[in-house]
Amino acid sequence: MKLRVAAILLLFLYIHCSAIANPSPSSYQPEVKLAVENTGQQVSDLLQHNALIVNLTKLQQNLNKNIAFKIKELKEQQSPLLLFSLLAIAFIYGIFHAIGPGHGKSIISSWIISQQRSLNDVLFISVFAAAFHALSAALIVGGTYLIMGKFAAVSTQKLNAYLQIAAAILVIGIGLGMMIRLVIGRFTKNSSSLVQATPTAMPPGKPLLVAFSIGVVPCPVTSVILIFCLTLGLIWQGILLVISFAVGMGVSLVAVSLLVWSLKEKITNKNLSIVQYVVTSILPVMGGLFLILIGSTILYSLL
Amino acid sequence: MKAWIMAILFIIFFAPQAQAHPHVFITPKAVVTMNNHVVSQINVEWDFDDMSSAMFSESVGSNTDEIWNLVFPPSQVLADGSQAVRSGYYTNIEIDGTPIANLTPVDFKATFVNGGLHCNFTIIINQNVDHTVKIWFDDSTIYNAFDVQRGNFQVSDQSGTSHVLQKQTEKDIDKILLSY
Repeated sequence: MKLRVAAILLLFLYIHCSAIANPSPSSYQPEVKLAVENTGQQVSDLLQHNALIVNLTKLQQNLNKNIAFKIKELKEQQSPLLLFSLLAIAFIYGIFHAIGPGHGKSIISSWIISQQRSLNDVLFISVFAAAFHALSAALIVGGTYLIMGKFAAVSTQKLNAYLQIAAAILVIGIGLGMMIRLVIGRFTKNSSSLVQATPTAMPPGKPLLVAFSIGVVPCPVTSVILIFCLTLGLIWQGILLVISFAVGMGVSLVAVSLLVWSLKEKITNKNLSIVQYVVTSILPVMGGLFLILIGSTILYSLL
Repeated sequence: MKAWIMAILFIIFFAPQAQAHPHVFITPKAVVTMNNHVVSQINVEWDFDDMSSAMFSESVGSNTDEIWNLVFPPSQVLADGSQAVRSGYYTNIEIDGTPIANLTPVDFKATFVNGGLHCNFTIIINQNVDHTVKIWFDDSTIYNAFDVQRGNFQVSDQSGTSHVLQKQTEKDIDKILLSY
């Protein structure tokens, strides 16, 4: 059983590494490098160019055009009805934007799977991740204006890179923290109290930390919507649109979190010893490893 | 487990590497200059969406060199937060089934018209064509999404040879096919 689990884990790591492989030229033999790049490219192509992603992109393109057109209209005529329709479009845009890859869904999902958490915690982390995502964008745009006198600058991109480094370190730290707790739990508790040794008794601030690690890197679309409104002199309307967009993103994150959480609950409720073993022993390890892997990959590519 | 649940879980855990995270929307236009069966060059125009244009304008104004750096950054941020070295210039051309390597834009110009950013550049080719030329634009990170429409592509052929221009979708990528 353990060998089978180890084999699956190794396979998973191989696929993950192949998909994101970006080896330095000197570190691989040309043939090996080519093989890894080809595998990575094939996996990447398969995931990027499929009907779902293409349709999602086209839908966002239409929403983007529509929202820009209506913002310009709002500049001309300050109509509450127009503002309401804009808020609705921004909300829908936020939903579809966060459905696509990114925005911390894999981090949240890993955390949910590896932790014995209540539904409230799961909802909390999803909502706050979306809120931080929008807040960080608004703070950076506002801060850039205060410091440089304009709403965007090339230097803000460098700032984003530093924030990504910070977020990656935070994700690695969360993963390591989970692993350390598991190891300490194994050494300090006997095998019968293994369930208690799993991260059930984590400090309440932990979900906030996970949400912060996701949201600290601003969503570029949020920044762009805000900048567009600000350049047209629509300050409070821009802030409202960002909030509406963030609520939309929050809906998507909550939906994904609920799906993962309910699936886990459904599996956990099955009174099978093997399921209990997987949930209490394997999933926490996998979740911790996954977070360390995601964080390390991001950090490696940034440094 | 139901297939759709598996599909959603697959997207959640594996799709971060797909980087399908469009932020800049570009409408490409192009004029293919030909003489008999030789493609000499392709003049490309990219029209950026209004909101990204505002961001470009705020960041670097109308400084063409700086806009080049923003449009073609040495490294690109991916959806999962990591970075990848940019490969190529999002422009792909295939002649008679053979991809043309190392396409580099020349005469890059950036202008703002009514707040919208328009970038023009030329791809020099000078190659014979027997049957087909395929043109498409694709950003592997999908940070830039290209809206390819048949009506935005034209052929200028001084020899008067007739050709057919049509839009094709291959592996979910929209391409313009020029054929004799």
